[in-house]
Amino acid sequence: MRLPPIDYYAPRSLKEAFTLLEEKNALPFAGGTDLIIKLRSRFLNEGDTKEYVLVDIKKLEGLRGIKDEGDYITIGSTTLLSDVASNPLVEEYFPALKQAVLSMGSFQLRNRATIGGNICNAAPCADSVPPLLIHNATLILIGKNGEREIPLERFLINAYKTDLRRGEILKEIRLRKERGKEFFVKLARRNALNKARMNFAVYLEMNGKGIIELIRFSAGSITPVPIRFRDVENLLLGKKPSDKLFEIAGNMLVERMIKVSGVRWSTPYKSVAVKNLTKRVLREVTK
Amino acid sequence: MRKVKVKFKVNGEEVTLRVEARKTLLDILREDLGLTGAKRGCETGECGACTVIMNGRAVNSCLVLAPEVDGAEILTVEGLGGEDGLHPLQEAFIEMDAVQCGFCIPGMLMQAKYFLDLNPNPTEEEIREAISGNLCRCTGYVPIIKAIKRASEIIRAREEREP
Repeated sequence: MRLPPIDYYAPRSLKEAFTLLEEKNALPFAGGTDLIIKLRSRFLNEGDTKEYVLVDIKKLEGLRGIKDEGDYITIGSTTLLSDVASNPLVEEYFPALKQAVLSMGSFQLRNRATIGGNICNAAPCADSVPPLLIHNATLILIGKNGEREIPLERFLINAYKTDLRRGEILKEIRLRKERGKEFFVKLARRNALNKARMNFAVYLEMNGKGIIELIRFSAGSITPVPIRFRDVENLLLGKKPSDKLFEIAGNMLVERMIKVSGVRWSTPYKSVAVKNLTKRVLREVTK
Repeated sequence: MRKVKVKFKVNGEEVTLRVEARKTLLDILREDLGLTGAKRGCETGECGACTVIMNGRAVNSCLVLAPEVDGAEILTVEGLGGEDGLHPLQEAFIEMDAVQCGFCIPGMLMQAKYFLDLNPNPTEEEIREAISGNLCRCTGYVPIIKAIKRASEIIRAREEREP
């Protein structure tokens, strides 16, 4: 056997799902591309032989699919990454998200992995997160007590730690339609099947005179969770883009990275790479 | 250990099994059904050697749990050829010398089949990207990419003759 004992449930109703999650201390199971690997590692490498209770949320209604709700787009939590990437609404309104998702895993993995899983797993390198943060994404969670809204920014507490409470499921991600420009870039050791070493997403609106009227800058993999860099945003707001400003922005990012994450083995590399990547992404989005 | 009953189709044939929930589709194919084409390479979704087509999508079978297979349609490399013989992909892989040790090949073939069904006239760049989830330690990928391109030509030529 290559996995620990599993007690598997595939509820057809949300009510049943909530009960199972709460009473049996079960784990929500969607794509399994993080979960199954974790369970296998615990079983084979750590001698963890206890039974895991899994609640398959893929058959539940209302959790999959991307909808145009007028001012908003909603992305169901169990929507496959491959469907997020090929969706015309995502292509039109959130091209950075499309770029990010296409950089994840492989075709095979994207045919199973879900965007909700990427968010709830809360890895520091989660690629779907920076492109969602730059749009102030809101998460809708559901449980036996009804629905709860929380900004994605607050939902991610620390590496692999979210505000998902026992008995809750992530229902959907809500994003406001906006008409600015955005860009995503990722540095990794390979071109596929890779963990980002850094992944940046920037959203920006400029007026006719070339002044930045709105900017949102998010980076992942350099702090325990992807975050917004508001000091960089404030630096650039109301200004004309320039390499000099981008240089200062890069330094700000490195400073914050070290302040939050400390000096690590990767700091000498990341300090240089972050500076240059900041310039690259800001140049690209202000072109 | 509690077993679950799964009823599904493999290469067009109906199968019913009672398996532990902790088995994966890869385990079922290899151990319960004797279909050893799909290989156990990394079991972490990083090598693609276990790639099969499930409900029309190429997936890593090492990450699919047994109960999820209920009601599904699975296509493996054993089901790739038709009654007339080899699939154009298999013909092309032989023609272009794309097989050395053979371990990556079933996964490559299934991924290529999935990809060519979506993109029947790909560029070399698109093929490279399409197989980025399949590792090969022998060939350096070049003959595999040539084979997939060749297969697309064979398929298109046949479709022109008998649409």
